[in-house]
Amino acid sequence: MSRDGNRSEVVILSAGVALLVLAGVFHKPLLKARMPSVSDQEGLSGAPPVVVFTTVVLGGFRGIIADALWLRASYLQDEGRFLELVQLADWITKLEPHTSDIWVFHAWNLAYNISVMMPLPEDRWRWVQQGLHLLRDEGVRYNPSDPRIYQELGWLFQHKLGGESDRLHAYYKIQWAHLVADQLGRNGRPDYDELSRDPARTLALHQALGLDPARMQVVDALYGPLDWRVPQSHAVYWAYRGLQVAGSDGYLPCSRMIYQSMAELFVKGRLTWGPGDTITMLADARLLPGVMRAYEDALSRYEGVGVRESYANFLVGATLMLHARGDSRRSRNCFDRLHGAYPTPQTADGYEAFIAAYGPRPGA
Amino acid sequence: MYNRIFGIAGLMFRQAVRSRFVVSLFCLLLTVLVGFTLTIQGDGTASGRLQVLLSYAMGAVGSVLGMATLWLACGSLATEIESRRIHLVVVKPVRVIELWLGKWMGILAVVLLQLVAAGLFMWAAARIGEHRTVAGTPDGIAVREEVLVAREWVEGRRLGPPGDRPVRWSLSCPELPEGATGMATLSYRFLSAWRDQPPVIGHWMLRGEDGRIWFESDCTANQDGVNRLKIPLAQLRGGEPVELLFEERPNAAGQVTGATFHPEREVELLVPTGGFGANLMRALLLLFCHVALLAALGVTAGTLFTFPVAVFASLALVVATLLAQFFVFSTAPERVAHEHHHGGEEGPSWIERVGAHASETVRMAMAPTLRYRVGLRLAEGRRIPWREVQAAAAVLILGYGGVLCLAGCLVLRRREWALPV
Repeated sequence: MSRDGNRSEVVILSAGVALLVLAGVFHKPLLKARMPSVSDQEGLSGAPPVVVFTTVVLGGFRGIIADALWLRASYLQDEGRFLELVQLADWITKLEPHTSDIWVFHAWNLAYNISVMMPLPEDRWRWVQQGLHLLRDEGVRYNPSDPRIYQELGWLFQHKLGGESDRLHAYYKIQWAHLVADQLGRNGRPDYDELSRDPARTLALHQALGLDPARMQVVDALYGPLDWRVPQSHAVYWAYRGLQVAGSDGYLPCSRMIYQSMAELFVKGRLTWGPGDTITMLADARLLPGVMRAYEDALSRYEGVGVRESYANFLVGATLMLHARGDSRRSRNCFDRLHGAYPTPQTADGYEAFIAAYGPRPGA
Repeated sequence: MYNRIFGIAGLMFRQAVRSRFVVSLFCLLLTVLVGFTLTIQGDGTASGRLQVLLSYAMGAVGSVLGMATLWLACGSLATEIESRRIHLVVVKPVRVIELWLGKWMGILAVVLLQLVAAGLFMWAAARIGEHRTVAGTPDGIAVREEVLVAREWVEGRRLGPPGDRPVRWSLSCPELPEGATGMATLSYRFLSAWRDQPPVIGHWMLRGEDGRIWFESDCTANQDGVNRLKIPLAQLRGGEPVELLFEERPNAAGQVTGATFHPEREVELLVPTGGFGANLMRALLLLFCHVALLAALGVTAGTLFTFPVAVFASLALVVATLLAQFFVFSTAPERVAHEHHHGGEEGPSWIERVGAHASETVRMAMAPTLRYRVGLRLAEGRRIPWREVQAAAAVLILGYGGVLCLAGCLVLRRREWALPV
């Protein structure tokens, strides 16, 4: 090669290196300028290389790949071949990590649609857990400031595990109680001071249940004492976290989840182990202040969206339930609030008349 | 003649090695396979993970090897013609068919080498997966009896009129080795319009031709998804027809669900008749037949076109073949939602008619090439029969490959080598 040729190669190479350095210098300021307007980078700093690769390198093509994977997932689901679906859900969500709808859909699909296809309870429980893990361990990680992710995660606890719509809901409740008892002790009540002094236990708790003891303590102080073996307690926890990220405007679905779950916990929020591997859910009147706080928080934030009616219904139910349990003081307290806030002809004649009209008949 | 073919094949192989194609392809395959092994999670069970790994590994090997082979094959003759290195060969007493076959066989040697490496990797991954589970545990049993096995499957043929109770099917049990132990699996599905309905309580029976009951078992089955019932092989008679009966029983509340069986796959009996190693080999041989066809397509395209055009044309044909299946499937009358207009109904436009006709023609012409696919069979522990491998070799290599070989030879024979490209 001639000397001229060598010289021009050196010039081109030097120019290339100089341009690369220049691009590197501008990279950080550009990224900084981009951050406020584009939330796409949120949560990617600690993401695994696969996610960074798919998000950055594939660019616009990742949508097409996600569509193709989604088509395959639908086809396999129709065919009753479920093995790949966790894998496909993982890839699809990783291709679009900041689209909450995708996380929500796949978690719901795994926990609701696929789980019920399994003939064995342990298989069903595994699929429900896959849905939980997808949202809790991944979805929240990539969308930490989207309250919807927290609300949907809470919904899995409130409805799928805590509700009774699934034929095997009792099995889920027992399995969940075991999981929590393994971490927090058999009564499902942590000693927060002891927990905070033990980083190994804190880490194990986070890995197994996704819980942060400091936040648990706050939730417990606000609404508790919560029995963490009961799924609705976790619904309250995640909905509370959703409200935290929602900011000052609040987020009605999360608030609604908190008061609904608290109302459910009031009726059946204390878990007791029965003979064998059975559980019984009992009412927990200690949660009454927490339920009222949840409703009143929601009332102070949102107007005209059914919170009032829900609160009134709760107070009616609580008045009658507490009376039936012989707790006249709390029962009367509930009635006073009911009549004070939502007076009706039914409450106009006072507590005794209300109980006589709607309470249990003598000898019934 | 054979010496000349093998001579050209050897040269082709050496050229592929020298151009680092073999090493690059090996590295690519290894990266893909190791990547899958490290990242795949399955459904949370060891058997599920292994099934997904085998299925993806097989698909990835097929895709990577297929594309790379097509690329290599397109360049094998096209680049030699363009660079005029072909003159060194054609001036010798070599017939065009020997040239074509030599190139093709050289490429197949490369493919075979890669397939053996990929096969060894998959076999090792499967065995590691097996050793990581404990025999006797549910997961260990699933890995050994449902994944790392070759099971023949027999679909039941419904007997009697619809609504007949008990429901009856006829099954032909495959031949079993003497003293076979282990479990066969009866897989069955119900048709359910609603999710999470109460389970079906029922009773299964296997009855021989002489009316003797071979096997019977009560079951509690899900109305959704696929149910499985294990049947000891000792209670089956290989090679004999058998009658399968199901009768629903009332549940604890005295109710009967009246569940009906899924119309497409009512019942299916899976009987283990072989091991994973041999099944993997047959799956790889099926793959080899497909890749051999792609190699033939590439070599012939290379005789017709320059290298980039040959790659484009071959890829276009492959894509058209795959898409034609999809178009024909999705435009089938039963899948098209018909809109009812008031007034005159508009038929399909001429473009749609021509497109549909072209798709149907391509599909008809190429359908046999897509018939012999491994699919999920290896991962689901379903046996790939030898006769299918033989049929694939006959159709894909001798049939389609032969036609492509003839076409390539015709082009080569008429080609003016000295003309500018």
